[in-house]
Formats: sequence, C-alpha cells, structure tokens
Amino acid sequence: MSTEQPRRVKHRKLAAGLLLLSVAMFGFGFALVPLYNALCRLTGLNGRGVESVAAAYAGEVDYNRSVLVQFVATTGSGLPFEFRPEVGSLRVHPGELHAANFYAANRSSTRIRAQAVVSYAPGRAARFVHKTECFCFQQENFAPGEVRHLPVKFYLDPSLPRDVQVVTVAYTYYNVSADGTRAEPSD
Amino acid sequence: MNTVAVVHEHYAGHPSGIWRWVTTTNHKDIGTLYLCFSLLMFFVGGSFAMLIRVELWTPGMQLMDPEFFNEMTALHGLVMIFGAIMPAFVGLANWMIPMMVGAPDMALPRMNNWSFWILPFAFILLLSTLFMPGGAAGAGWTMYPPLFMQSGVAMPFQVFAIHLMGISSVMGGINIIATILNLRAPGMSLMKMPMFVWSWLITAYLLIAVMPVLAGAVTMMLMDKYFGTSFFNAAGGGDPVLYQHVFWFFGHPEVYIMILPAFGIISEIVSTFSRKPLFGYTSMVFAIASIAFLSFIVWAHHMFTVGMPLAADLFFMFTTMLIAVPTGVKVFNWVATMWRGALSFETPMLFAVAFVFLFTIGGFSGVMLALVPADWQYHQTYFVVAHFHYVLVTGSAFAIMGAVYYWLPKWTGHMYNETLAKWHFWLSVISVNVLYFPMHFLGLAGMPRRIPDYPVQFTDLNQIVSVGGFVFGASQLLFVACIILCVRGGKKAEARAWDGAHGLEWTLPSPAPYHSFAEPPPANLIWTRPYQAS
Repeated sequence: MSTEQPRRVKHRKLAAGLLLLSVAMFGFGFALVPLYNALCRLTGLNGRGVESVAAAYAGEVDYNRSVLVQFVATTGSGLPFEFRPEVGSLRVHPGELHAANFYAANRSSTRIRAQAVVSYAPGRAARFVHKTECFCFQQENFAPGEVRHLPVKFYLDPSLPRDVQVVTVAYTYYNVSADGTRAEPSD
Repeated sequence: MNTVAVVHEHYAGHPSGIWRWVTTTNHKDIGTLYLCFSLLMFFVGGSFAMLIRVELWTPGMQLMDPEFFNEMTALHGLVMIFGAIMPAFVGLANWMIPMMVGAPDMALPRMNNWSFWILPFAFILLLSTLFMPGGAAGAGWTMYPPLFMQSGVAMPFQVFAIHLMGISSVMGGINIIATILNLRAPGMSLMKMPMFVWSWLITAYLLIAVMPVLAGAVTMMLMDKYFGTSFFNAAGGGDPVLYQHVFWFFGHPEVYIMILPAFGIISEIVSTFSRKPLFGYTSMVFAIASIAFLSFIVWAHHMFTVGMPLAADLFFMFTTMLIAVPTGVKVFNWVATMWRGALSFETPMLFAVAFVFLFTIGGFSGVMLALVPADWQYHQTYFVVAHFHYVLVTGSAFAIMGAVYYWLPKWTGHMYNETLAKWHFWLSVISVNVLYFPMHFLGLAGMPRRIPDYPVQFTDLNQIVSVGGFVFGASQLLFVACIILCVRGGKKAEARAWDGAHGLEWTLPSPAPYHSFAEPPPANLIWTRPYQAS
C-alpha cells in the first residue's frame, strides 16, 4: 500500500511526542520537590523559611495579650529515647523571652546520635516563633543511658496575627547515628 | 478467551493455541486478554474485600491479625484500581475504538501486545509480596510514608510493580491517542466521533500525564529508603506531606481516568436504548474536557486535614465544587436523552440507568466531602469509603458491566441470556446498596476506615454491610456465567444487535470478523450516526 509509509511516520512522530510528554511528566514529579520547598519558604509553611540560626532578641514586648504555647515531644521510629517536655505549656506575652526544657534520656546501651526536627501548628504561626537557643540547631550525641535537659529559648514575634491564641511547638527526635541517614540541622 | 475463538474458526492465518495469545497483535485478541485479565483481578480483589468484611462481622479480632487486615485493604485497593477497572477500560478501548472509528487495528499493534503482557507480571510481582517475610505492604493503596517505607522487603517489589503498571498504562495511552488521531476513517471529524472514543481520547492524555508522576513519587520513596536521600524523610529535612501532594497530583486525575470512559459508555448505551441521539453532544465533549482540566488543580482536597493555609483550603474547595458543574451537565444530558425516548430496559440499559442514579449519589457525597469544615469530620471515616465505592463500583464497574452486556453480541455473535443477566443486575443493584449505603451512617457516626476492630455500637450496621458484600460478591458469579454461556452459544446476534444502536461497529457482522475495516468504511456510513440529527 502506498499510504503505508507516511502513516507509519505519522504514528512514530505522534508516539515519540507522547513518550516525550510522559518522560517530562516523570521529571515534573521530581520538580515538585523544589517547587514545594520554595512555596513553603514563601508562605512559611511547616516552619520553613524561618531562620535556621539563633535569632537575635528584639526586646519589644506586647503586654496587651498573651498566647498559650504548648510543647509536644515525640520520637521517630528506631529511637529508644524517653523524650518529653518538662513543662507542658506556657502562657507568654509576644516579645517576652522564655525558656523551656525538654527531658531526653537514652534508654539503650549504645551511643546514639540524634537530631530533633521542629514543626508548628498552626502552620502560619511558624515564622513568628523565634528561637535564640535550641537543641534542634545541631545533632546531639547521647552516651548509653545518658539523661539530658535540653534547653529552648524563644520569643513570639509581636506581629503574630491576633487571632492566633495557641501555638503548638512539636519536636520529633530522630535517630541519625547508625544506618547512614543523612540529616540537616533544623531551624 | 473463547470469545474470539469463535471468530477464529473463520479466519485462519495466525498461530493457534496459547502462542496465538502470547504473540497476538490483533486489537480484538488483546482486548479480550485485557478483559479476561481484569475479570480475574476483579475476583482476586473481591476475595480480599470478602476477607475484610468477614473480619468486620463482629467487633474484636477473629480471623486475622491487624497487619494482615491492613495488607488486605491496601491490596484490595491496588488490585481493583490497577488490575480490574483500568485494564477493563483499556480492553474495551482495544476492542471497540478501532471498530468505532473505522480503523483496521490499533496504530501500534506490537506495542499493544507489550502493554498487555507487562500486566500479568506486574500483578504476580505485587501479589507475591503477600508471601514475603513481613508480609505485603499494609500502608493503603495511597502508600503514604513513613509507614510505607517501614514495610520491609515487600516495599521495593510493590514499587517495581507500580512502575510496570505505569509503563503499561502509558503505552496503552499512547496507542489509543495514535489510533484516534491518525486512523479515523475519512469523513469522521473529531466532532463526529462516538462519545466513548472522545472520552478515551481525553483519558489517554490523562494517563500519559499522571502515571509518570506516580512513578516518580514511588521512586523517591525507594531512594529515601535505599539511597539515603531525604525527599520525604523528616529527619533529613524532607517532608512526608510532600509525598501526599505528589501522590494526589497523580491521584485525582487517576480517579477521572477511572470514570471518564464510563461516561462514554453510558452515553452510548443510554442513546441506544432511548432510540434517540445523545442530547447535547458538544456540551458532553466540553464537559469531559473541563473535568479533565479541573482534575489537575484540585488534588489537595484529599488532604484538607494536613494543615494547609486557609487560602489553599478555599482554593481547593471552590475548584472541587466547580467540578460538579460539568458533571451535572453530563447527568442532565443523559436524563434529557431518555426524556420522551422510546425506552426499553435490556440489561445494558438497566446498568446505565442504575449508573446515572447511583453515580450521582457518589457525586453528591463528593460535594459534601469538598466542603472543608465538613471534611474535617468525614476525613478518614467510612463516609469516604462509601463515597468512593459509589463512584467506583456503581459508577465505573457498573458501566463496565453494562458495556460487556452491550457489546457481547458483537464480540461473540450470540445474544446473552437476558433472564440470567437480569438476575445478575437486580441482585447486584440491591446488594450493592445494602453494602455501601450504611457505610455513610457508619462514617458519620465516627467509624474510621482501615481498622480491623470497632466499638460495639457499630456492630449492626457492619453486619448489614457485610451481608450486602457477600451477596454482591456471589452475584458476580452470575456475571461470569452469563459471559461463558454467551461465548458458548445462544440466539444468533444480528449485525445491529440493538435496534436503536448506531455507529460503525454495528455495520460489521456479529461476531465481528478477526480483521475489520481493512479498507476504510464509506463516508455515508459515518453520516448515519445519530449525533448529527437536527
């Protein structure tokens, strides 16, 4: 058939184009990662875009309102730790510098390197929580059975939206010692 | 497999026996393979569902341990979605699209053979995880990390199975688009195509666009687990919520992949048995296209509870509710097609009418779930289970069953046994409502999904649900009986098996010859299609 040849070419062209589209969409799946991170930085979602080094203390205090700050501590799987806040919650004025301690105890007989990751609820409060000191800024080494009282010093930015009356600060401690799990220091 | 064997007697010239099926590039053979495979998977996935319903008969643990229960819910979902519903639609596309557009075969027949034969291996891989140390991955069909990554040796095998299914779907999609765009008979412009062909053209684009995104998401998890990356690993600065975004960017178009071809089928059947042209053909095409477009920008309505900013919640809520508009257009058009038609209720029409009713119930509960404040209560409850089973079982699966009864005479050359088929329909439609309707109440009362045990006050409703489930499961044996009897014999079917049917496939003799439209059909045949009326 004389029409056979151009038809084949037509099929190949279309199929190649569609195949290219599917490869591009595979790449798009991966491109969603930086896209998501950029979006989170922009909106302060998940506490991203918040400075990851100790914040300087600004010093202005808003005595006209108080906000309840709650602390939550959990351990990731594979971390044989007892980990809890020593104070469950604090009522603070925005701008006031406060300290809270976390109790962490290595319940195993091995040396463990651990990294804490923080997250906030509601998410939009994340960029208004400033920490001047935090155990989550670096990885910590725990000797077998070692108990530590880990300090966090923080203040709430006085420009925190007025309808946010409760801020939850949640720490998850992860085991980053043995199996080569890479970890970046959190903010 | 016998479906085409009947045809086979008249057309020699290709290998016989098992080798015929392995090497075939004939669109009818491959369509049959897809349909038989999906029927098998329907029963595999169905048996998992039966185990789930047995375990949920009374509170407490009786039959299995909780881990195995989770494996059952996960595999039931994966097998039904990727093994039963999607291959069934691809099988129907293979059988019908070339005949409907007047093409001799699919555009890329060898690739067609590949895209089918990958599937059995993908599912052997997936189901083999059940026998691996630690069992299959019990993290739901959505495979959220970190739970999915804790699945032991089953995880990489399941990921590879997903990769294979994705490759198969993408190849199938490319083939369908190439067939529709390049092989239409002269005179068949895009706006003269049958509705089923239109729905598949758009579905195929969705497949090509989103299956690779799923492949990417599961690949990232594989890399997190074995290569030390931290895409979703919070300890390393990743974010598990990101997986949910990537997954549902695939997942929402995926649910339309499973319903758009059903819309096409229902349009064909309703028009035939109303003996009227489809009402609002053009608006039907645009409705499908706009549903497909919207499906890309609504994904986060599956994750309202992860703590998104209010603006994002509102955006996803409004765009989701917007989908009700083109969907409503379709439902009203089907009703308008039936309006003042010369209706008759053979089994395909019964399934189509049931679809219009019951799919709409699923659509309404979907609108309820789209409301952010309401969703916070419904999320992760049996209400969600009720919702998506109304759209997938009484929606997609009913459309597939209707399509099988509708086109069986064309495939086999025999009419199916109408009495038996009516039994199948009525048992199914009654039991399916006994099965899924009480789930709405269970969900509103607070019963979470994916749990093997529940508080005592849910016992009565769960037992009603289980009874409905067992009857529905058993009724499907009648479906198999109908198909086997129809393949074996029965009243001889005419070329135009239904007097109201239009379209090129009905100009071919029944059973359709092994090679059809080697020469394109004359253009005047295309013009007899009903959509051009008025």
